[in-house]
Amino acid sequence: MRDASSLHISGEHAFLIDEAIGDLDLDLVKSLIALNSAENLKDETSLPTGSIILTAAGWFVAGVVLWALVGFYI
Amino acid sequence: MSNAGEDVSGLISRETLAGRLPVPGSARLYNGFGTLLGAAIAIGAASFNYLFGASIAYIGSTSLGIIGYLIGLMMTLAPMYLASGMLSYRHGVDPVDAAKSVLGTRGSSLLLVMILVTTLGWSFVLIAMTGQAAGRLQQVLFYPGGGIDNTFVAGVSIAMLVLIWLLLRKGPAMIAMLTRFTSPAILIIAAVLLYLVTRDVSFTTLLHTNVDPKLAYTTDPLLQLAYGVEFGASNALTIVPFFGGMARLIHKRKHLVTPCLLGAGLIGAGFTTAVGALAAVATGSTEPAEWVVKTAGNGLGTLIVTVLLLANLGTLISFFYLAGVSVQQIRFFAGLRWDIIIALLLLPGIVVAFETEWLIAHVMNWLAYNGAMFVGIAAILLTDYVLLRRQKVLPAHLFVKTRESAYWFWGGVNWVAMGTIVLGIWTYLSLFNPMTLAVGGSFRYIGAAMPSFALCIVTYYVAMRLVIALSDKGGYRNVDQLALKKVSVGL
Repeated sequence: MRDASSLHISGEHAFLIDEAIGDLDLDLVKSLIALNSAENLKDETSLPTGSIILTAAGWFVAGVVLWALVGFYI
Repeated sequence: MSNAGEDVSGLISRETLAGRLPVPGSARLYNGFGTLLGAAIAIGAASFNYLFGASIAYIGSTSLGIIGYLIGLMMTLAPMYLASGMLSYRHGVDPVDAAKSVLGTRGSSLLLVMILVTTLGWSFVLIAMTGQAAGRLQQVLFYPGGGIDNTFVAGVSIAMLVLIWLLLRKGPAMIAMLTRFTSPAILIIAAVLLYLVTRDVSFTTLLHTNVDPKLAYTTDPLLQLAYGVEFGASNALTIVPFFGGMARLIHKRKHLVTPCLLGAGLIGAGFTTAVGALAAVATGSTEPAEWVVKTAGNGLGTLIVTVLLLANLGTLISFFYLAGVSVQQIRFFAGLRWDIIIALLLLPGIVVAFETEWLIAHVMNWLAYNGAMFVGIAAILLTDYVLLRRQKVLPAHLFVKTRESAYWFWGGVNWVAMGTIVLGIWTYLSLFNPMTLAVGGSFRYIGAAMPSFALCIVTYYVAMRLVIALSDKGGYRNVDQLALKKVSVGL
């Protein structure tokens, strides 16, 4: 049995944790809390992704246009 | 276990990157364009591209085949990166965990099976090809006219397995370090090979040299172009199960699409495949180890083939890393040390080492169906995350194993998604059979991958809109309330 005070998880979170939690699952809880931390929410990975979709759309459209152009040319 | 002398934060970072734990933005491995480009080239460029190049040549028009192949990569890779990479990039989760929001808590095991079969399948094919090419080189140099020494082939294959384990046991940082050397080596070798095959005949002449029309797949130019596009699209679809594993290690948004597309697509796969196509028409041989020695001579040829085979290590450790992270979905593997996991994944390779010819002949055929397998999955991943969820997924619920999970659907499986995947396979194969190359009527204008992808997107969107309107299944409604719900998570 694990001593609950040794878990070192503070603040508000949405996880049900019992004292029998294993090391791996405890690491997971800590990772998920870190994912929702103020620091990570300000990170580039958490910002809007419109530019990613636009870049991908650009490559896709370029491919389709090239296919059409080569198709007409031959 | 003692970690004396080792930086603790470095150890934690390594354990996180080598495991299933979500990787926060600050711990991502790929921060620079160049490093990521190198890693992407390593994934896209492997020696089997020279064999694919021969298939491109046999389309019937070398130039149309190469142009079509590059177009197919360009237009298909971008949506595949969005489908398989956006959720993993955002939350740092591995692709199987990410897929739980679409396929269901239990249904995502389908993707796990596909990832393992595809990564290990391609890896073992590559190991077998490396052994066979080394054996061919030994035969050309020392026993011309004789057969390949299978003991030598097995020895080289096993040496590759040991090298992979030694390189990957320290974690994924080795991928970035190794690909710094292997990726430029692959490109330099491809450039040298291009020089050698165009030494006596100009590049333009060679580009317009075609195989004998009797041996060509078709003589219809539009169909030749469509075949080229479809071969490129098929290669691009193979990235679907892998890419989430790479995306969770990328830090900058602007790096998610372009460096990967340039590296794995146009430079890695495109350039090397084009060189393979040109070499096939120039030398009439489809066996790289043979035509390299034929064009470069024994001394330089041996050096080139050796570097080419060693450069396969970059591709191999990338594939085994992705398989190693994914297999930790199985609790037994999640509790094992990283180096033990990699050793267990490499173990079947010992059998492969003694059966290289059988593996290349049979597994390669089966892997030709990758495109059909992944087109439906890519469509539902993209539709679900971007159109239905508007990019709002609850990372904690991806790790809830019970019906408390927002992504439980029906008994842990999203059967609408499963039906769409089957529809994707059926549509793709009715338009294009990758083994016989038989095609449907519309193929010469629109190929097979894109219409199948579009049909799956529309079908899944309409069906899931109905589900969302009629029930609370899948966690599409009341997301803010679900986020506050106390849940029990586990790996």
